[in-house]
Amino acid sequence: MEKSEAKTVLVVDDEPDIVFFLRAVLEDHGFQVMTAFNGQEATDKMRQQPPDLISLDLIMPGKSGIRFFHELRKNKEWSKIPVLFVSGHVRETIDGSNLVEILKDRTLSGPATYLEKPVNAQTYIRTINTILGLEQKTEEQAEEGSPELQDQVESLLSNAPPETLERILQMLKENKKGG
Amino acid sequence: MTENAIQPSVPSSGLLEPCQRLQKWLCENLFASLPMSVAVIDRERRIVKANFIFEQKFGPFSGRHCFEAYKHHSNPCEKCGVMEIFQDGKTCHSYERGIDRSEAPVDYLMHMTPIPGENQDAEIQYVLQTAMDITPWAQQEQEYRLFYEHAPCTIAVLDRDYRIVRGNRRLSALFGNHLGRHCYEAFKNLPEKCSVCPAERTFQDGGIYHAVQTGETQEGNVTNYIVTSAPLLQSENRVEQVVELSIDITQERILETEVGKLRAIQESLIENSNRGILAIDQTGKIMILNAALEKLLQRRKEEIHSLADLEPHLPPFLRQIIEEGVETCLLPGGPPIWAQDGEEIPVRFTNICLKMGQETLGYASFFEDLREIKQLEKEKLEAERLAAVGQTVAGIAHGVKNIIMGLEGGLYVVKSASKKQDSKLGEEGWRMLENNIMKISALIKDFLNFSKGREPRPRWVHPAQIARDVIALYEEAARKEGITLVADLSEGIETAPMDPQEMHSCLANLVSNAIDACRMSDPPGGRIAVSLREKGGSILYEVLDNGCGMDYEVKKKVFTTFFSTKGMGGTGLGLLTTRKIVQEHGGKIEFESMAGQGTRFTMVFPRNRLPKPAEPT
Repeated sequence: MEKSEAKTVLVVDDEPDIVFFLRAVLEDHGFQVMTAFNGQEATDKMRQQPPDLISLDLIMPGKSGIRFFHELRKNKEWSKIPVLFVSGHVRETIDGSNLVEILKDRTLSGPATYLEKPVNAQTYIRTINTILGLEQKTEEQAEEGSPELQDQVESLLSNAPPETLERILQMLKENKKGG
Repeated sequence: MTENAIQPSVPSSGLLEPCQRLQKWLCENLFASLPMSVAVIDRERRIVKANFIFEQKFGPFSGRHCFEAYKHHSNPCEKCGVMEIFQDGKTCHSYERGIDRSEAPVDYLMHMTPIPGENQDAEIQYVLQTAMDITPWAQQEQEYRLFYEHAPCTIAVLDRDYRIVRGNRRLSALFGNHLGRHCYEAFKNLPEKCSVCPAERTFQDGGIYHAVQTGETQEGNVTNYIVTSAPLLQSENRVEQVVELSIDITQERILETEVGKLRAIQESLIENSNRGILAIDQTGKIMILNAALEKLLQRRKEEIHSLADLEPHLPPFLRQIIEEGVETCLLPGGPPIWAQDGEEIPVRFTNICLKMGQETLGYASFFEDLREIKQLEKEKLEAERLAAVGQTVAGIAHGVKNIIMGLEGGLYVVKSASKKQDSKLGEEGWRMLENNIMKISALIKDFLNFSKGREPRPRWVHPAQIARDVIALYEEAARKEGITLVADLSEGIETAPMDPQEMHSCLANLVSNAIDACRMSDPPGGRIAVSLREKGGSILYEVLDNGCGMDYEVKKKVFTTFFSTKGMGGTGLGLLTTRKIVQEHGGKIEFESMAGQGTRFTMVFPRNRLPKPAEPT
């Protein structure tokens, strides 16, 4: 098994919070990370240094993930770089086909798979390790946030009235001042 | 009179005294007293003697040839009766046409007889001509013949056995050879006499009778005619012959039938039309009031005689339009009419002038009941709104994905920071949590706002004022970003029933989007034009920018899902809310966009679909 330190991942997403999150997760697991906020920036970064894997959002202003992906697959040097789509729009029809169908298209050679947002750190790293053929660090799995907690937060958020959320926000602000 | 009269021959046998006197009188006076022209012609065809009537008719005879006197010819006639008599000594008659002394044509019957010579064998020296003037009868006969052959009817003369003894050319043309045939055979191909027979009645009492008959021509075509029978030859209270004059009315019958059919079709169309139809003549008298209108008004047409009787049902301006025959079409939202029970019925009203050439016959009005359409429109609007809400509900779960992932990230970073004792990283984690909770809060507010389905509260407002307010609101913000915000508002756009608050937020949303698009363009800055105009009964707001524009993927998602390209800046509900408000105002929103070039959003509000304001104008 190879070591993750040797691997570079290019994270492309227009949401800065998500870029920051994924970067933190990857760096915590020993990856080298490059970031880009749209397809054009991603192309520029690729020219500087082609990564070992690309974590790619689908819909972004400017050059979208789909367009970037098609360009990637047309480029002989870059077509073998594995792509992990991380998007909320995985099952939606864009340009007459959706991502799941695009990935089935054999003419677009090269490894690619997808994760549907929201993605937690554990799933993200596991998927990337699998793609790159890296060893899973079992001890870290235990440390990850429990799925129950996530479910609770999700359900709370989706049922919460705005007033309650305002209060939570207030509490968080106070907490931050305190910490 | 000329003196050389010819002595009639006197029988040589002795006569009694009175007889001689008679002969003497005849010799002296007969010639002069005959009521016709008499002339004596010699072998040279010269007139040697003529009576007074001859000279009166043909002028002086002395020295003239007969052909000169009778016919004004300079040469003898081709066929000359006189010369024949000189040869064969036989009396003869002929019908002649000559010219009288006043150059007028004259018809006469000529009788010519030889005047015997001294003895039986002696050559005939003279011919006696008597010419009877028949000009008036000849003329009558000619007129009669003309009428008989050229009258625009068939003429048949029938005997008491109903056989045709005479018929004109028209009769032959229609019924072929008819002479001697029974009229019912010839005209109708029937074996026996018709039951209704005007000729029969004429035979009975000598009166003139008429009847309409249907016959069959020799080609087998049906022919309709009006026949008049009149007595022709009467003897001692008995009519021997009857003349039948028949006028062909086949074409009229066909036309009559066609007109009848057309009329029946039209009446049926009018009566069964699902639009109310009203027609009045120029005096305001009701000519047509169909079943659909009876149903709309809940009145019977027997109760309504004039436009005045419709007073409780039609608004005054509508009655005026009808009365004056103004050609017009008033669309929905226009006139209401009232049923007998007081229900107000929205209608599409059309008025036309009924004309034949230049002549005005009256006016017709059409009333299309719009209750069902109005109801459907309302339901459609509601369905569209619900569909938009449904799409948004689906979209919100989707939009929450990024936020949850942001929260997930925040939690991860906070945990990771505490593990590493990295306070700076911890702060970043808290910021991420804060951001995403703010986002979800804003989203829920927007969503509640969107889904609460507030009915628009329309008032009569100036569409231009709304545009001016929005421009004033964003002028400063635009200038700071180096964006030119210009207004192009048409003058004189009338007030319209709109919810000013909602319309303001629609336009504000489009302008704010345009500012974002200009800010995101490369290089930032640009130009935004807000325009307002009225076209074809619709009010059009337009927001045009030359900002970053939208690529295909973004364009497809503008209204369809909860979708934002603005990262932290948008919830993705702005355009959905805008569309909802536009639809609630009966309008539609459209856009064109080219990536890197700009975007144009247009909101179109047909005036006749705008909501009804709560307050009057």
